[in-house]
This record gives sequence, C-alpha cells and structure tokens, in this order.
Amino acid sequence: MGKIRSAICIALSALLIAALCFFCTISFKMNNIESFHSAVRMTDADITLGGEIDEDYYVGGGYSAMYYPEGVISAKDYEKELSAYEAAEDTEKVDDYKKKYPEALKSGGLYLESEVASEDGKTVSDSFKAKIEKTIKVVKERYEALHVDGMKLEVVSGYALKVTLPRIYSARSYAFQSMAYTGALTVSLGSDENSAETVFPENKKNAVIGDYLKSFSTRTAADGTSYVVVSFTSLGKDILESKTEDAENSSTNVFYKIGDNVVVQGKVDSQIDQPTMYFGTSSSESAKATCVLLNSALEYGDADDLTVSYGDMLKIPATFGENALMLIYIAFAAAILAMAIFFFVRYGLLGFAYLFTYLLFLFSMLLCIWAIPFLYMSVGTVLALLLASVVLAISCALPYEYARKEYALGRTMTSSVKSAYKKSFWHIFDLHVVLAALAFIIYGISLTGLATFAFTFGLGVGFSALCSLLVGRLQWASMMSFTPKKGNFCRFKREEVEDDD
Amino acid sequence: MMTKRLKSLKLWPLFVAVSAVVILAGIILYALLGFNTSPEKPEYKTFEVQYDVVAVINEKEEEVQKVCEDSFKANGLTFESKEVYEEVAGSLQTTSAKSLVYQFKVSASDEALGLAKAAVQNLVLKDAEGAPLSVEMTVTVNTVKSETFHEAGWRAAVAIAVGAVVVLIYIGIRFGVASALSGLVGVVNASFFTFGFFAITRIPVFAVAPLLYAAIAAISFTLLWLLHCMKMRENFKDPDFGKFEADEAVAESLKTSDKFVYFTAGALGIAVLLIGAIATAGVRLLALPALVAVAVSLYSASLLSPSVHIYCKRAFDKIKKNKTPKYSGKKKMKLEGEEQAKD
Repeated sequence: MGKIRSAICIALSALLIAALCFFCTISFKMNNIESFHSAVRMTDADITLGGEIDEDYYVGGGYSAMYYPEGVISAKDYEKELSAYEAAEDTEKVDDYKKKYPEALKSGGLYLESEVASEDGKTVSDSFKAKIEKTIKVVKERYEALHVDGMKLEVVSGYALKVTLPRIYSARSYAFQSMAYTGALTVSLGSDENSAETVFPENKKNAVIGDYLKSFSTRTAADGTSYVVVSFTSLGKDILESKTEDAENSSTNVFYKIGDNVVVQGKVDSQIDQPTMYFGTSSSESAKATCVLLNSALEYGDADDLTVSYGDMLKIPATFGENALMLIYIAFAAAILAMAIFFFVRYGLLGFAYLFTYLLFLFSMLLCIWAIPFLYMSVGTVLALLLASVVLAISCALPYEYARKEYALGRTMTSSVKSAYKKSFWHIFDLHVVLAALAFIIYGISLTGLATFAFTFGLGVGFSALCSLLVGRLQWASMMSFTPKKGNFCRFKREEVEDDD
Repeated sequence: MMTKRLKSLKLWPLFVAVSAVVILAGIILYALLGFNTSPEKPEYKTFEVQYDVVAVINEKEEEVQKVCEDSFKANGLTFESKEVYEEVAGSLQTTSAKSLVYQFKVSASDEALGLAKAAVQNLVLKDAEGAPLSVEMTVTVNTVKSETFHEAGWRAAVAIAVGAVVVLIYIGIRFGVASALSGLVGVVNASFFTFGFFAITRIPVFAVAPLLYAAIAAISFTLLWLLHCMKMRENFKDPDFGKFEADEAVAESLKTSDKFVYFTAGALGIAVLLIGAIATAGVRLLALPALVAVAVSLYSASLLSPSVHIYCKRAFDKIKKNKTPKYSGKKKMKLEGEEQAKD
C-alpha cells in the first residue's frame, strides 16, 4: 500500500475511533435544559449492577412490592388502623379490631383475619393454607413466565409474597399491579364495564371458560405495535358472532375481566366472525404480561380465589453495591490494557494495528449493546465481551505468528503477511463459525441472563471475524508502509543460518 | 519415541478416573444437597423498621440505626447486611418514607429479635428542643424464603447440550469424526466436571451461576480444542507425520499447538481474574468461580480429549487403511495407463 493511501487510511481509522469513542463515553450538558448522553451512560444495567450517574440519574437496581392475599395484612396497616381507633378512644372498635386480627394468628410481621384464615380463631385453617399455597403457585408461575432477568420472588412469613423486578423491565409497574388479579376469567359485552353482559362462560351448569377460549398469545406488527391475540374455540366464536350481530349500530365494548378487574377492553365496531381477536398494547413487554396473566386466569382462575392486594413498594439499589458498575468498567479497562501491553511487547509497533482493530471492535460492540433493546450491562455481558475480546486477540495473533515464521524463513514481509493470512483464513473462519453457532444456539434456547450472555458473545464473535480478517489486515498494511525496516516494526527476526565454512 | 507430552497422554486412565470420580460425586452431592446457593439467601430473617418523612426531615435516621444496632448487640444478635430502601408509590415515584432492613441468618433467635423489636418500638424520637416527634414507625420481624424458578435452569442445560452437539457435528465434518468424538468427550467432561466441582467443594454461587459456568466451560473448551484440531489437521498433512504412530502423531502435533492453547486459556483466566479482583464483592462472587470453568476446559482440551483422540485416530486410521480402494473412474485409469506407457 502506498504511503499516501496508508496515511489516509490511518487518519480515517483514527477519526472513526475518535468519533465512536466520543459517542460511547462522553456526556456533557449542552445548556441548562439539554444534555448529551453517551451510549455507555444510556445503556441499561441489570438489577445487580448500577449506580448514580449524576444527581437524579440512577441506572440499574430495581423495585420490590409486597402481595398480601385476602385475610392477610401488614403490621404497618394493622398498627395504623389500630392507633386511629385508639386515638379516637373508641375502645369497642379497638377490641373488635383486636378480635378480628388476633395475636394467636399473627405470623412474623403479618396479621391474619380470623374470619378468613381460621375456624376457631386460634389456628390457621387447612383450607386457608391450601388457598395461600394456590395463590403463591399462581403468582409464581405468572412471574416465571415473564422471563425477566434478575427477578426474585420470596415468601414472607408464610403468607405474603415479595416480588423484586429490575428497573430495566419496562412493564414493572403494570406487572406489579396486574399480577395481583385473581379470580375467574370472564368475557362480557356492553356499553360500559358495569352494565356489560357476561357472555363467557354462559350462565348454565358446568360451563367453564375453557369451552369458549383456547389461549392468549402475543404478536408484534411490522410497525412495532404489540398485540394480545385471543383465540376462540368454535363455540366461543359462534356465540360472539351471534352476540355482535348488531355491533355496527350500537356502541358495544368487549371486556376481559379477572375477578372484578378489567384486563383488556376494546370497542367492537363490527360483527366478530373471526376465530381470533387482536388488542393493541403499549409495549411488547406489557403485551406479554397481559398474555401471561390471561393464560394463567384461563388455566387456574376460580371465583373462590383469594383476592390479592399489593403495596409496600421499595426502590432497590444495585444488589452488587453502589459502585459495582463503575468498578466493572475499570476492571474491563484493566483487562484491555493488559491485552494491549502483551501485543506491544510481543509484536512491537504492530501492537498499534491490533489496538486500532480492537478499539473499533469494542466501540462497535458498546454501540450495539446500547442500541439493541434486549441487551443491557450485566456481569454476564461483560464476561461475554471479554470472551469475544480473547477470540479477537487469538484471531489477530494467529496470522501474526504465521507471518513471524514465514519472515524468519527469509521471505519478504509482504509475502509473509499474504501467506500468513492465506494459511490462517480457514482457521479463523472455523473458529468463528463454531463459536457463533454455539452462542446463538444457546441464545435461542436459554432464557434471561444466559441468553444475554450468549447473544453478546455471538455478536462479539461476528464483529471479531470482521475485525480480524478485514480491519486488522488493513491496519497492518497501512501502518507498515511507513517504515523501511518492516521486520523491526513487527519485532520479527530472520532465522540465523550457520555458515558451513 | 516416548516424549514428555506423549507420557502425559499415556496417563489417560488417571484422567478418566479423576473425571469420573468428580462427576459422579458431584451428581450424588448435587442430588443430596444441591449447590451452595447461600449468596441467594434461600432463607433468612429480616428486622425491618419503616419510618415516615418526619424522621427523614429531622435527620433521625442515624439515631434509629444506632438504637437498632445497640439492641442487637445487647441481645447477642449479629446482622448479615443492612440496607436503607426508599419507599415508592404506585407510579414507582419515591415517597419520602424509608425502610431500614437488617438481614439475619435464619437461625437467629426469635426471642432475641423480639426483645430487640420491643426496644426499638419503645424509642421516642425527639426534636432539637427535646419535644417528641410524631414519627410513624413500624418494626417487623419476618422469615423470608426464596422461591426458585426451574424453567431457566433446564432450558440452559438443553441449550448447552444442543449447542455442543451442533458444534461437534461441524467439527466432525471439517476435522474428522475422530476429532468430533474426542471433542464430545471433552465438552461433556468440561461441563459436568465444572458442575461436579461446585457441588463437591460447596463454593458459594448464585443460583443460575453453575449453568453460566458450564456454558463458559463448553465455549472455552470448544475454543481450545478447535485450536488443537486446526493444528492437527495441518500437521497430519505433513509427510513427516506419516511415519508416526497415532499416539506419537497426536503428541507431536500437540507440542506445536500447546503454546497457543495455554496462551488462550491464560488470557481468559487473566481477564476473569482482573474482573474479580477489581470489582465489588458481588461481582467477584459471580466472576471468580468462572476461573474453574476455564481451568477445567484447559484440562479437558489438553489432557483428556487428546488422550481419547489417540484411540479415536488409531481406530479411524485402521478403518481408512482397511478400506477397499474404490473404483476411481475411467479418466484416472486412462491417465495411469498413459503414465505406465511413458515409463
């Protein structure tokens, strides 16, 4: 490569790296209102990592909420109510309240209502325990089906549930609220919620909701709108068809309720004559949450279920500590530095070619992690980035080593480099195909944290292939053209041949 | 010629025995005790003090904490962690109330916790002039039990297994069935040995972490084994290698790829070590055990799989040798005839 071309190539690469570095790492205030945020700053972090980036901006961490089944209240609510009666000096109400929530039924920081939880006012009844067990099972299955990384579910003192959701889960507020809906699933038609007539299940003996509804699923349209799709059985479709015959001339709405709570509602403009019905939602995550909730109610919903209330919500900081995110960035930088030092020590100034290649790889990866909606910063993501960095280091070192051998045997540098890349191409190709296949298969099948780790690694392997075969070679060719002593530039030495004389 | 490298490969019964013992003992211990998931805190007790904005405005938070900690001390209790959480409303906006949560081991005495609770409940917070403040404060003691989600676990195991099989099919096509078979042994060993190691040593890990380590072991092994396979394919084309027996050929080839494999494993290890050394305790707990996965994959790729490969190669070489030559076509025969005529 000619010197002018090389200079242009190096200058362009340096500019590109500088621009990417700027977008990835620099944040500043443009004026009193507007700020420029770097990609790294805007990248979400999972529940384990996080930290306060400026005064009112916190990444990572999550939220927790308590679920109290019917008949169970928190000590805070109990004491608040009791002290209100005591302040009013209403001894009768105080006594009634104490009888309603007797000390004998108290479990940890929870008070159980004697009428709901007990038959004798002293011990918790088996039927209540069974109902609590079912409630815990249903709520647990709902949350598990959401497949949210970092989510935690804990049973508190045997009768309440504590759910922790990460901040990165956008439908967290909706999930906290809706996952508490219990009771039977019903579908009603009418002008408003209160006057609507229940169409499913029909008012006849042994009719169950499963006779009318098959399942609920989600779809995302090309424009990005997410839908909850309701599939009817043929019986369900026939009934709806007959009930909505006159829909065009009347203001009819359809309501999908769990217990007394409306989960989905929509206007019926024309006769429903299709086996499926679509409802638009605000995001894919809320569509999924709605779908999980409705499927759960379809399978387990029962009019006798305990109602559940939620409350006592807390903001949870990063579980690995306040500085976890910052320290992991520092550790990552140290790892990059160690790798760069190795290349400079072993290959001399050729280390610059590797450094340019690596920085392009790294900033492209950081931009991808920021831009791809389901990727976020976690320990798994950082480990995947490190693994991919090692793959890139190997893929760069492989042709360097081949070239070292070729050069030692007396070939020219240009010929050595050509031969090295020719020899190592299939090695690098195999390496990347195998690792990318493994990563994307793991991503396709696994869930949450492991899926994020695998996808990031797969993406990194893809970038590593491009960088090592194209960028790396280009950098080497352009940087080496400025030096007359090409061997010294790469710290390559000729093999010493002993003279027979 | 018995080289040092060949000698190491002859120790295959030892490798098989070590792997078998670790994997079997690991499976048994896992079935009996599971992994040591103490960092997940499967069961613990909490001592929670909820206080409202009055305590926050009057800067009484430290006083509350001091009273709590003094009463724990007085009752012989030692807490494991302390967190102050902000309370949020339905829209997840913070209210000014807070929750001070102390975590104790599940074995912490209920009686002692009850006494500490009574002491904190009796606390009367006063303003600067000594007048009592009307702080709404609730103290609760709860036993908390974590629920585990199983779907993520079994799906991860299936994902690693399917991924490994597909990759080994590719290796079989590109590098020969012998390499794929020895790779299969290696990847199974790397993943299960890692599991077994954590089950036996009871090193504290997060619940999903063993699967992450198994995935790292599988990926890391594949990477290292591929490096050996590439070099073997290149070397075995060399006529000089034709004079070697299968074991000698494998050992000689390994000598040329070992350096690169050690460098790769070293780079992986150093990267993980740096993350573990610099990051916070939680990250360290998750990252450092990944070193085990890297070490196990190195053992699998450098010792176990090559030992198995000797036998696989020997068997496949034999099959190749005994294969009856196939009809090579008219054109080739004609060419051979012409060459003979020339001679």
